[in-house]
Amino acid sequence: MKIIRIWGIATFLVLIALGVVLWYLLAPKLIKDAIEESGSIAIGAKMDIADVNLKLFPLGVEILNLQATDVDAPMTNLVEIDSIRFGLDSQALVWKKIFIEELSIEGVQLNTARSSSGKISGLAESVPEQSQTADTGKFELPDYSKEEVMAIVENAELITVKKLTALQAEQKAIREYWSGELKDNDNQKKLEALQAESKRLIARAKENKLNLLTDRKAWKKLKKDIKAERNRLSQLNQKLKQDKSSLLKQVKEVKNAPQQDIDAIVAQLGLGNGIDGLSDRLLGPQFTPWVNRLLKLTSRMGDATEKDPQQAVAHDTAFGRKVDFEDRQNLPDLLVSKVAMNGKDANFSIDATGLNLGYFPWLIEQPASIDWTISGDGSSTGKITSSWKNRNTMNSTIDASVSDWTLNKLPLLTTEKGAWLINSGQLNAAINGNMTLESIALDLDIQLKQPKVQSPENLSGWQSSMHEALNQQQVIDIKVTASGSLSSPKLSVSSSLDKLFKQAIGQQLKQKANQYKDQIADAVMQKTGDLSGLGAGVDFNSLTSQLTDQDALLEKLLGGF
Amino acid sequence: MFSMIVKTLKALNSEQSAGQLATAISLALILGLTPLTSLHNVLVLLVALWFRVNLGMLILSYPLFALLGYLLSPQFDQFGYYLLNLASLQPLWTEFFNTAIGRWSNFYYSGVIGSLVISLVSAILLYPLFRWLINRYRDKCAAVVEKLRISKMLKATNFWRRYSES
Repeated sequence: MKIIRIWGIATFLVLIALGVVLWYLLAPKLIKDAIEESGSIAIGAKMDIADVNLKLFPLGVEILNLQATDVDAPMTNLVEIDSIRFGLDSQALVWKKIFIEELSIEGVQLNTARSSSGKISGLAESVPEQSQTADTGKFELPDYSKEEVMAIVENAELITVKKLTALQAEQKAIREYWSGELKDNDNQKKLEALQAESKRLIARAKENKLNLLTDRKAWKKLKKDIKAERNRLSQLNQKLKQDKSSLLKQVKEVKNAPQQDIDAIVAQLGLGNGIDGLSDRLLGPQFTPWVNRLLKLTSRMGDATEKDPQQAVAHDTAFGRKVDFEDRQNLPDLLVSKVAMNGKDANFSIDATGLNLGYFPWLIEQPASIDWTISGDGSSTGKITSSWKNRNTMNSTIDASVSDWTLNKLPLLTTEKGAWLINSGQLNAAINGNMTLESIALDLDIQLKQPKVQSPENLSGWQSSMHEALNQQQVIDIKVTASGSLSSPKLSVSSSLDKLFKQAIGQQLKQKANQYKDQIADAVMQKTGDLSGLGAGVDFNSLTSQLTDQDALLEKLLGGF
Repeated sequence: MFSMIVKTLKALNSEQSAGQLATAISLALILGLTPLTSLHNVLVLLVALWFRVNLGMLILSYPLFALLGYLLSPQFDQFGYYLLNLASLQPLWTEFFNTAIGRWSNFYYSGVIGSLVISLVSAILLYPLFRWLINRYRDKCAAVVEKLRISKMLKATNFWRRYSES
């Protein structure tokens, strides 16, 4: 029996050919869907592509009319690109690597109108970073009910309670000590014994003067004992004074403690030192997220480098865990040698060039760089370079600036009433600094000239006064500083508005704080009781009197010698 | 699907060798247990088409093994990860990784290599068992199955007639 099926080869070849044709027909759709889906998730709004063309000889891809929606304005495109073209190196593809000699991006336009909304409902779940930013961006003065204040005080660890407990323990210890020292029988008996001995010796001396000589040793002993007793009484007197002073000091502290508790709880309610670092709290949520994203992106790159190059590295995928082995091709999985981008319309023109962009970057022998020039109403130039000597040594620098850029709906801050936007004015900004895998040193200086702030409607209180003050500013200076390391970056924001914020919010904070202080004081008193009549809790006058009487008695005995 | 069952039953009862049927089951085992889009499955397909393997049996067995593969995928992943990290195999893996076929074979995914090794070993080891089971079926069960009411009903249908004529 024949074991070979001649037509089997033909069927196999036909099936393979069908597979290739099917892939060729479906690939553009798959590429389009993949870019639209991943792009939409990345920007938080719709990314649309009109068409994707695939060319086989030479292998290349053309993406036509890419539109990326502005997440803050769904009827506007953040960027619209006429075409993106690139060819794929087939030799690199043999090694499952994507090598693009030149990627050309043409017809770039910013802020173009969309024919339909680019908002994606429910995408917030896919982009937790953005929703989190929006939450933390809202600033509002705290507002609590009386019950909430009571509950906060009830759960707080009050200094007053702690100090009162310590005072009561101290009072008890002091009372027990003095009760032992002055009221026991031994002490009384000792005095009576000294008194009796004195009487006995005096009586004997009266009987016969010579007994003075006979009893001289007894007289000496009595004198010595009385002095020792007086000395002991003097020390007790000293200790009594110390105890009194200590207890009175503690009583004073306990009486002052409720105020400390009130201040601490007021601060806990966000009404205490809330006027410090207001630029950080108010402007930070608007001006730091993109710096954070940049750092996170670099940080992810850093994570990939922490592995021992000699050891196989594993990544989770749908096919299980991918294990990397030594790659002798010395070519990154993705490399774009050159990216050329340009665009122009009536108002502006853009030119940008990217060189040696790829992943993993340490497999690219040349440093990666992107530089751009945008001109129009304003202008922007900048350059970012990133150099990787090896997977553990990276040095990236950024030097970019924006000059006289016309502002339109720039988010400044967000309060519970809504977003505060700068509707007109001019922006000057500069960012520069460098990053390594160990440290960050980035400075962003922003200058907003002649800002016209559009605030939410129906403002009242501090927000109303701040709106007026903001619109009177000629220039707003904002400085964002990033320092620390990639694993724990520190971002801080300072601005020329600090004084303005303090004036607008500080007064309101004080009023709010005073409103709650009485409630807090009542709640604290309920927990600790009325402290107005609090005293030392020990009868020091009686104790002093006892010591004085005993000492007087002993002095009298000595006077009889 | 129905015609496939008819064909398979016919094949089981026909003069086709037990080896051809057992090979089909073994190949279906490899196809089913490993990720379908892996490069090695092109070779499996080539073998299935080129050699006189019973395609009906292969197509019918495939879903059963695919289900089994899905259920066993955590074990394949574990075994594959162990193999890929075995120190003594590192030079072999590195060499293979640096070949074009190795790069496209996806062997460096724990799920692929784990399921491939287990399915290859199983296919080779189970081949005699499959043969024996088919022969056993023909000797002992075929006559009984022929007499079953359902078999008679099946044979009475137009489908059976059509396929038995072809």
